[in-house]
Order: sequence, then structure tokens, then C-alpha cells
Amino acid sequence: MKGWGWFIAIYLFLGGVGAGAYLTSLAAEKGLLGHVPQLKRLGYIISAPIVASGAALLILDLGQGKREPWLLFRLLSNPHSVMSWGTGILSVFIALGLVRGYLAWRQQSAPDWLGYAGGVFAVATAVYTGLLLAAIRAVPFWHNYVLPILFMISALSTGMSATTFLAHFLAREHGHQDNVCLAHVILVGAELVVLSIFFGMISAGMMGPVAAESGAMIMFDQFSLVFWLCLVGIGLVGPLALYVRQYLQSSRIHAAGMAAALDTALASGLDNEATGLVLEQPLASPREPRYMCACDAAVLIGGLSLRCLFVFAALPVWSGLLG
Amino acid sequence: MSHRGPVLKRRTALKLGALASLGLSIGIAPGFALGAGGQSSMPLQKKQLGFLYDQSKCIGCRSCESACKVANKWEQGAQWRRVLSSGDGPNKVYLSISCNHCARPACVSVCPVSAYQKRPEDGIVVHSPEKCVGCGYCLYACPYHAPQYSTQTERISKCHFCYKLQQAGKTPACVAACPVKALTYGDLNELLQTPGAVQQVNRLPDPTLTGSSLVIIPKTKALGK
Repeated sequence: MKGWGWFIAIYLFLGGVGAGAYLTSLAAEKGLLGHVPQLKRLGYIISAPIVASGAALLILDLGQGKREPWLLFRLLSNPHSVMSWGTGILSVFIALGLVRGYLAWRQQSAPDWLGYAGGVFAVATAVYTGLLLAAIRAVPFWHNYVLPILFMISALSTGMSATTFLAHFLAREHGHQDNVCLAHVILVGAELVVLSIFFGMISAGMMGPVAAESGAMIMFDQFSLVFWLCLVGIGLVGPLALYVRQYLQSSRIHAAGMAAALDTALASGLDNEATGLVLEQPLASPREPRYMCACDAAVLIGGLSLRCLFVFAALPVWSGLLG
Repeated sequence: MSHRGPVLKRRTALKLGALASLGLSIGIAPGFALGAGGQSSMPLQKKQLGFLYDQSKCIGCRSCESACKVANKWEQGAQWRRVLSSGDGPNKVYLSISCNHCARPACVSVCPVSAYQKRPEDGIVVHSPEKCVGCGYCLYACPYHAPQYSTQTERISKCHFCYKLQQAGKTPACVAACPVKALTYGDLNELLQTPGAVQQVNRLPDPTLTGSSLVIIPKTKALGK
């Protein structure tokens, strides 16, 4: 049997990262992530190229992708197929993302509807990457509704990490201000919780004996190193601890900085209005520790490991043997 | 000017909520449309053909396999019909299996290019290799491993119940080749009336998963199990 391999795992991963990056910029643009100007652009810029390169991998993986590529136009032809829907969702997202990314690149303003429409298709893309697997009844490990939720959260988390990682290197900005750090904490924490629920359900046999076997392969057998080290350790617990630490530190420094600014303002005899203006200035944030970039990279490693584990540990409901 | 108001204004929250739900519904909709690989209501069949396999008659000669290979010119790596076995000595049992031409075929639901068709007149599930892009989705969706991927042509092919032979009034190649009449075929409703007939042996998947049309007469316990 020709099973899915690396290309599909990377494609599912990149689909999530691209969608998450777009949503990160959308959230930043709407003021949810504090005052990091580059976050409002970088996610938009990288989203479509990332998803498109994932789609290119998928096409290369198709038996006929190189032989008879014109057959690919038929990919939209079955309204009952999750893959047909996904092809449509991805195409629209890549198109919207390219336009929005171009405008962000040129630093031009984009109409509100474009940002939101892209956001809708970004969410759909992230959910689709999970639903593609969840729709398959004959693979009990995939066939449940926790999987798309897990993939959705991982998409948001990895997309945001990719964006803050780039913000650090390309724009030399401190990507991890309070709100960004808090968002990282929430997403990585939520992923850890959902992952625990998922593997708890699997181990308890709630998804059947074959799914439990897949779960055992991942947790205790040939994939256990990838699971515990790359996904749980490097990808989730490690970054979670450091994000929490950074969040607590930066909010303490923030509070101290605010108090100092207030003191200075009052001491120099400014009136109330002027003091208010001083307080509204974004504070010069302290140098962000190097390890925050490493955290972002680690989250990405975790996201890729997650997709690989799900693709490689998929056992069919029937082994194909009589014994 | 930056604002230090509440992080999330009500208006923004409402907008983002609406956006997220719209995105989720677009993403999840196919799950419902699909009924997740097997539940979708297929048009009612006038007739459903199925294979009947008698485990106690089969001698494991694999004539069905070779006849199928010759008649249907298997592409390299593809094996439309397989004879499986388990146990040893007097306990040895066989199972000759190909596509089960299910009532709710998962391959038909998941194929993004609609390469699979379920024929309304006899329920045979036919795959058109010339439409196949070789994505491999059906390999995961079919619980019986009926779709076969060829490493040579990089596309799927599978058993089509020799429907062309049947149209010409002949029997399918595998059935015609069986020297002991262990493999026969007919209308599913009639096959299910056969005494002792079941649809699941050993660890075969639950037949209700996709509505398999394979009927098996298991080897009797008297012969040892």
C-alpha cells in the first residue's frame, strides 16, 4: 500500500502555519496583540506563500501531479469529498492571502472586507487540514472531532510563532510584548490540554482498539521519542514554561516602567493631561532574551512533529490480513 | 495614538466571533456533506451484486487471483483480488477478497476527482483510472484495501466485477476460474439467504461501516477451529 508520507505531513503543517500567520496579523491589526507594528504585516506577507508551497508539495506527491497535471482541475468535482472542499478553500485562501500580503508588503491600506474574508478562509484552511484526516472512518485514530480542534489550535500557535520569529529577525523587533506572550501561553497551554484529552480518550479505548494501538505506537513504541521529546518536551512544555516566565517578567518590568514614568511626569510638574499623554506612549521594552526566538522555533518543531505523528501512526481499521 | 482601553472592544469581539464561526462552518461543512466517508445517502439500488465465498470449499489454489490478473491486466504493484490465509494444518482457512462493491462506498465519497461511480443498475463500483490523480485518499478510506496503487502508473485501479464480461453474458473471471465453486456471485439479497452466511470473519471490519456486499460461508466448527 502506498501510504501518505513526509510530503503530506509537511503540507498539513504548512497549511496550519500559513493560516495561523494570517490570523496573527489580523489579530494584531485589530489591536489584540499590543503594539508591535511588524506583526500587523509579516503574517499577511508570509501566509499565502507558505500555504502555496504546502500545496505544491501535495501536487508533487500526487501520482499524476507531474504526469498529467491537467487532471488536477477535476479536484473540485466531488461535493461529497473533503479533499474537494479543501482544494477550493485553499485556492480561495491563497488568492486572498496573496492580495492582502502584497498590500501589506507595499504598506498600503487594505479594505476591511478583504482582511476579514481572508480570515474566514484562514480558519477554514486550518480546520480543513484536520478534517481531511478526521473524515476517514477506516482509520479510527483519525476519525473523531478532537483532531480538527487540535490541528486548529496548533495552526494558530505555530502561525503566531512563525510570525513573531520573523519579526525578531527581519524587523529586529521585540515580538514578545505582554499580549503576544499571553497569546502564546494561552495557545500552547490549550494545545497541551487538548492533546492530553485526545490521548487520554485514545488510551481509554474510547475510539476503539485500533486507535488505542496507534496511540500506543506513539506514546510507548516506535514514535515515543518524537512524541515525548519533539512534541511534548520541545514543542509544548518547554516553550510554555519560557513564555510564562517571559510574560511574568515583562509585565513586572512594564508595571515598574509605568510607575517610573508616572513619577517623572509628576516630578516635572506636568498637568493631568500631559501626564496622560506620557502614559500613553508605548514604553521602551527591555531587551527580549534570545531564548524567545528559540521558543518560537521549538513551537514550529512541535507542530511539524504533531502532523508527522498523525500521518505516520495511522493504522487502518483492518490490517488486511486474516490472522 | 495608542489606546490603553480594554484589549478587546465589544464590536471587535463580535466581528471576530462572526468571522471565526463562518470560517469554522466552511471548514466543517464538508464533514456533514460527506457524512464522514460512508454515511451519505446513496441512491437506492435496483439491484446489488455481491460475491459469495465458501471458506470450507476453498482449497487455496489462487486460481481466482491469477484469472483476475490475466483478465484485467493488473498494473505493476496492483492486486485486485487477494487470497489470504491464516492458521495451520486442519485449521487453515482462506479468504479470497477483492472490492466488495459496498452499499455506501467510502471511495466514492472521498475521491476528490469523482473517479469512482456506483452503477445504479447493479451496484458495481467502477473506478476510472483515466480520471485518477493518484492522491491515495481512497487507500485510507476503504476499510477492505480494495483500491490498489500502481507504482508503475502512479494511479489507482481496482476490481470492477468484470462488468464488461457480465454485459456479454459471461461470468466474472475469478468466479469462472474457481475449480471448486468456492467463489460465486449473485444478487446480494439472495446471497444473504444462504444458510450459515455471514458478512464478517476473523478481524474483518464491521460490514455496516460501508455496507459491504461480500457474503461468506465460514468454515464449520466441526472441521476444527
